[in-house]
Amino acid sequence: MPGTGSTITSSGGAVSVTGQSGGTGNNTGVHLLSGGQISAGGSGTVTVQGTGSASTGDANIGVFVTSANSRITSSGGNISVTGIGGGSGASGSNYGVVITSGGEITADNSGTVMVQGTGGASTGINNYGVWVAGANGRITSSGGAVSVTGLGGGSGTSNSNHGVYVSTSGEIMAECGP
Amino acid sequence: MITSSGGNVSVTGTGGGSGASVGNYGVYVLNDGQILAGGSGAVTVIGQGGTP
Repeated sequence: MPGTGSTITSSGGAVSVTGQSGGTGNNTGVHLLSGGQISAGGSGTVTVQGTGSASTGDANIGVFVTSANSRITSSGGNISVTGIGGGSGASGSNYGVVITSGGEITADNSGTVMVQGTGGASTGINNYGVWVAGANGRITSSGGAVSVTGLGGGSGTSNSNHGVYVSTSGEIMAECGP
Repeated sequence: MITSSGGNVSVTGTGGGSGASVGNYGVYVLNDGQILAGGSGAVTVIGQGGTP
């Protein structure tokens, strides 16, 4: 979903988005960038599931939220985000869930946030389960519980397959409630 | 009385890799990365490194 103002939203009902990528490299199941948003109003829940391609190219990401104002949000409903990195052979950088450079997953009011990521099982490097990075890359709530679970991938001599990696000013945070 | 309470934060990570693989951290917080809970919220972090 590229482009400012690109949105998938509801006025109170549940929102569910499922993406399965194909292609031969740099393929993402669900990709929000340049202000793309998935949101639910009222008490609607948000469920996002993404699976990266099984290609031999790099960067087959399950769910990727990047750049300022790119968001997965609710107004009080619970948010669930599940990403499974793909890749095969020597492919690397197959992340389950990536939140970076201003991307956010955030629930308002008492909504909870659950993020689960699994890195790809390739022999390449850097198959993280969940990666939160960059200024204002955040997973947050306004009082609800926040749960982040990551399972690093990789196989064979693959290195640096972290379960949950929070770097370069990335944040995982539950703020005070209303 | 006006009160506020932060939600709990739970982070669980399991490193991957196998064989001669190295540097597979369960939970890795680096370069000003933060895990936070406001108010009375609890923070639970569980990391399990990868198994060679």
